[in-house]
Amino acid sequence: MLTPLTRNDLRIIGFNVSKISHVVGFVLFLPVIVAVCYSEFDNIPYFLIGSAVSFVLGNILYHFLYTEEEMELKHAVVMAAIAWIFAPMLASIPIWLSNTTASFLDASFEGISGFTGTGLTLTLDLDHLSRSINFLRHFLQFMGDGVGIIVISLSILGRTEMSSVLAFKGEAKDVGIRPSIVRTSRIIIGIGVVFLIIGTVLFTAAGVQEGLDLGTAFFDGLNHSMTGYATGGFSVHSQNLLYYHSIWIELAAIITMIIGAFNFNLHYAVLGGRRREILKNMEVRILLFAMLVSGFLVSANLMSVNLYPSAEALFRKGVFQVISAQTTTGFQTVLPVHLMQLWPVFSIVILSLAMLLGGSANSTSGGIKMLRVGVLLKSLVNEVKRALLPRSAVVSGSFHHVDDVPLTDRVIRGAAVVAISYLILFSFGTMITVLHGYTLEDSMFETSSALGNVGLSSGITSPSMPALLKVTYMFLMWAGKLEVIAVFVLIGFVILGLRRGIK
Amino acid sequence: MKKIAIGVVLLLLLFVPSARAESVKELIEEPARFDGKQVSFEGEVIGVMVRGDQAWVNIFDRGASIGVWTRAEDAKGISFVGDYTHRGDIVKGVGIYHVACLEHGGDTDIHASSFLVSEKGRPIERRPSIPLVLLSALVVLIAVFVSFYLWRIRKERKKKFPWPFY
Repeated sequence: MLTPLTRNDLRIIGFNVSKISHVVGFVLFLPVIVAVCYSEFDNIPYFLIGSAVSFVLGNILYHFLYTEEEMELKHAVVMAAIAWIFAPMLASIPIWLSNTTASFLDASFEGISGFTGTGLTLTLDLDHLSRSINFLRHFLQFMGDGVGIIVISLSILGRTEMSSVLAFKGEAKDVGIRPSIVRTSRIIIGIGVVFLIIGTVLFTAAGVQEGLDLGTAFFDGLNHSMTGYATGGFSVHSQNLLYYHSIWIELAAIITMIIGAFNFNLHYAVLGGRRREILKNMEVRILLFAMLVSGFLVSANLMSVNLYPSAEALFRKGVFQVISAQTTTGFQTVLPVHLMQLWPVFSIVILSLAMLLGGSANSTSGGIKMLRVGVLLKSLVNEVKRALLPRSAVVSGSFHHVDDVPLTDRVIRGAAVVAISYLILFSFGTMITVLHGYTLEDSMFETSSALGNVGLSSGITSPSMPALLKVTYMFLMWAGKLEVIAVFVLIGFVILGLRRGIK
Repeated sequence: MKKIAIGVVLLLLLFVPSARAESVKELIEEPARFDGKQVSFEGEVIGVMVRGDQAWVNIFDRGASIGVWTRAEDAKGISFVGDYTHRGDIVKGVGIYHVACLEHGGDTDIHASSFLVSEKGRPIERRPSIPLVLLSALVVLIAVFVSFYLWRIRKERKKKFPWPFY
């Protein structure tokens, strides 16, 4: 029996959204430092306005909706769903004011693409963008997708453990590294910062080696490290990583992308000395296997059409794009128009599938996630066994994911519901795109990219694309980030409020 | 002698109709038409990376960009690289267009046989918009005032009535 909504439910949700607003205010203020460092003083008002509006909204919500009541799971999930719209809208203020997009809708698209770690962009002239706005775009991905803005908000500004535990669930980061959630969030932030430093050093060293001056190498390296670890895929150049014509930069990108696509629990286990976990973990095995198989199939397919003339080219184009798609990052070494015009349909389908399946659960990746794919594959094997064995035989199973986990019906049902929800949204997005006159493979590719929070583009995403399609992709990016379920909970919450009123 | 040769190439680029520069967008969007052929290019420099005797010069032309592989000596003549605060030098030249270059790991590029800086770039002065500066000052003041005011109210009420009554 569903209990009707109360004013208190709305108060709890609104109060927790106020904390997100405060953190966004801080995030939007930080580029002011970059603007001062690079003498882009004309950019400072954009960030000050965005930051001040976020703080004012946060303070008003905090004051009028103040409560000391704890969140329940329904509050956390609805709060996460609202926060992932609210935060990008605030972040779009400086982007819109800077005239780097054609409209407020495009700026909002950029905000959602940033916070969800997608990487599709509607920026008008990326090659002449100010460094402070560029830093903001990349920092949004690091804060939003890299370490998780809701978790930061509630872990730092929240008073209790409970609200943070629920926030992890709402943000699709159901992590159980340590019993103390504040410690867990610190570990997640710590892991993010450590890999950010490692990534920046790798990118900067590669940039200097390849002829960039140290300042440019560092700035580009910092930004690509943020978006690589966040598996976001924004780049400071319109050619993306092709700009550098460098295998070293691409290798640095591969390292950061794969690290970002691994589970936080795995990072913690390995950093804590349990190195064998990498070899034993079911999710890692499936992720690496999927990349290997996809990489082989795409390379073989590209070789059969004789598009790339050498093994090096097959690796730097074919294998690189597979890793970028599977980890849901979206870095590109092939121009979007060439991807769709020159690559065979088979390779495009493999890339679309990789984007849809995604990386690890509880990582910065998007998509259905390899843990769920593994659970569904194991349950399929169990079903086959059940059919072959005598009726009296008991078929049970387990999988290794940091610990040994029994394969229960509940685990299988959870994985199946998320996978089916993704497929429904994938069909919906593809149909809407096809209705706008694009080919089926282009539509499938762009939809999987938006839904899986990837950012690889077939060229459909551009400032000139129809407004309805922009809104559709914004919805897909948002739903994909929330792993779909939170969207349905929000819809249920609204329907419940409309049908039974608010007590 | 060298100056004369450069002058001749420049004249050819400027006056011979067949040497009209293809736009970078055309090159990218019509790979089958231009792949492996000699093309003319022209665009604003947006990046220079010297690699030994050679260099990558990324050029931007009407919304699209591409890497040009040329001699390091040519790249040394570039004064400004285009970004937010600079308009980059305009360069033009002739070269072979590759959709997937054998020498460069399958990259899309142009291998230049001639390369010239046709127009020097310049710094761009970016002045803050005065209305926006005033607006930002106003919004910041409002934010500070509202935050302080609400904090004071909360503090007063907390003293008088403990939660949940305030």
